[in-house]
Amino acid sequence: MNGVQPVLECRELSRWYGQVIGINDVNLDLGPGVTGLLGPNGAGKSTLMKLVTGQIKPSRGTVTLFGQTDWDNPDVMRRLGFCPEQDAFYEGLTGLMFVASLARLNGYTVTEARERAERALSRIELLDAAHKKIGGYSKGMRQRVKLAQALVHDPQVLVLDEPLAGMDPIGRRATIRMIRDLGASGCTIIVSSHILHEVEAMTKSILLVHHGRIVAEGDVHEIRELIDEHPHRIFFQTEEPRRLAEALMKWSDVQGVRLDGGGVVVETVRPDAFYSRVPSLVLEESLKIDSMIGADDNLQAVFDYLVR
Amino acid sequence: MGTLPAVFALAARLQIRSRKTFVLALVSALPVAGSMLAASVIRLRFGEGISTGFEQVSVVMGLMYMYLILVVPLFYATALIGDEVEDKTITYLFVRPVPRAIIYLGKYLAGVLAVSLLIFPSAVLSFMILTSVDPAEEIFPHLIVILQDLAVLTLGTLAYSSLFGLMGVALKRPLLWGILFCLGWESFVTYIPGVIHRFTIMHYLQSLLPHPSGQRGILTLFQSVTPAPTCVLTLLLVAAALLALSCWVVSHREYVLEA
Repeated sequence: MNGVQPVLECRELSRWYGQVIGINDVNLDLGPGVTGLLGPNGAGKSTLMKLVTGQIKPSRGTVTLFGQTDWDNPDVMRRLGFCPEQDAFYEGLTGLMFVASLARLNGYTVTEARERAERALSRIELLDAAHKKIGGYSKGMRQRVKLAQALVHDPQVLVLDEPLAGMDPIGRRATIRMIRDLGASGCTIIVSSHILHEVEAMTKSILLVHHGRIVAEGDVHEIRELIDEHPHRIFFQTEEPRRLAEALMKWSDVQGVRLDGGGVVVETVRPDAFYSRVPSLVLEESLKIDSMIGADDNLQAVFDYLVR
Repeated sequence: MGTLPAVFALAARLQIRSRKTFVLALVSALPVAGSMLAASVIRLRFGEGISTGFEQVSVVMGLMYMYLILVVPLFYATALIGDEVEDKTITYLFVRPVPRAIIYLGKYLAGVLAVSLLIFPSAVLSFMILTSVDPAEEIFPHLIVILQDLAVLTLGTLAYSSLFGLMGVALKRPLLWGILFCLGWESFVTYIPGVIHRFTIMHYLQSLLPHPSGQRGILTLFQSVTPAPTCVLTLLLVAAALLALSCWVVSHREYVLEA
């Protein structure tokens, strides 16, 4: 960190759930910018994020934000925004009510909270649906309203747990751009994913987490070549699986396409190029894609290689 | 404390619009339905204008209050935090710059409001229905009784919500423990002779209520009545102490959400 006080510090940070290790002996300094937390499901990413956001306490070691421990610490929480992984909401509230109510907890007046909520919803392009109940939102809209509540108070630290999960390709692209811009403006952002290309689109700085440990950190390009040796699987949820499959089969970097449970599973060896072309395909073919979910089997193979 | 009204507003909105409130509204309406049934039976059997006497009305009212004041706070207060942990929405509250104790306090007050909105109308309606059976009985002199009743119900709501709230934040399966407590300790120990009944909340509520307890027979011979100022003070102290303890538990306890 070049002598500058890091925003986030973890020292010998460990957390166990009974006999199960969540995070083990993590040492970490993070400053402004976007840092990708990459690891397969169950690697310990969410545990690390819960520790950083003061939802759980360390079994051993310390975690501090701005030099302070974060457990039940309003001074830290005021500067923190968190987008959780779980798809949980106050379903009966509208998007605007949800975000404004949470903004009120940051100390804003009713009017300020409403204005901020509208601004946050506009930022994630959900203002049109602001007066609709969250219970009626699509998966992508639910994901975006979670982001809005994390952004509503302009936090200095943003912790995003799988923020792109279930988003449609266009929403995904807009969210990636927004996260990148926030990082460039000086916000400290930790974003978790089990899909390399997602993280790569946001930042070059990554932490690889596996079995509760940080197994590698640094530039994303170093593991990129390893990743590309393994085919990447992507699942599309769509009402028109056959039409989508037909369109995708024409692409040269697609190794295989199959219909699966009302959706399409695609295998590609060049996921980044593949993902970058999906939004154009959706627009050109007027396809309706409800969600796009990348599997982590290629990443798992790389982790297996790294920890061998 | 500046964010307490915001927590209260959010919690009240969520609780009052919940499915639980709908179900408990039906539960709270049972005394009203019971009063209507009782009034109809009396009219059918004895004809219009029969003099029932306020004493009989009072007994029925006393029984209904015991039912309302236990059941409604039990279902609300044991779930103040638990429902949000189960629904995984507690994260949204715990990552805000609000001390956890204030979050609990706001939710507790919203729970008290929700309980009051359900049991007060039920008590007033039941009272009016039962007193209307006897047209010779003037309602006006008894209005002071219903006002006293509402004050006692408020104290009961505060005390039981604190107790069941503590069970909710500190125990697993708090509803089960709460039901056992209601059916066992509060329903049974209240009528044990000696001093042990002084360790129940119900004893102080019954001492305050301007109605006979409704528990006829030899048991009532052994019941003692605690003076009203002592009752009020005890109930307020119990409510405050249990509430403070709940706030402490919420401030220190981890609520790990299941994946």
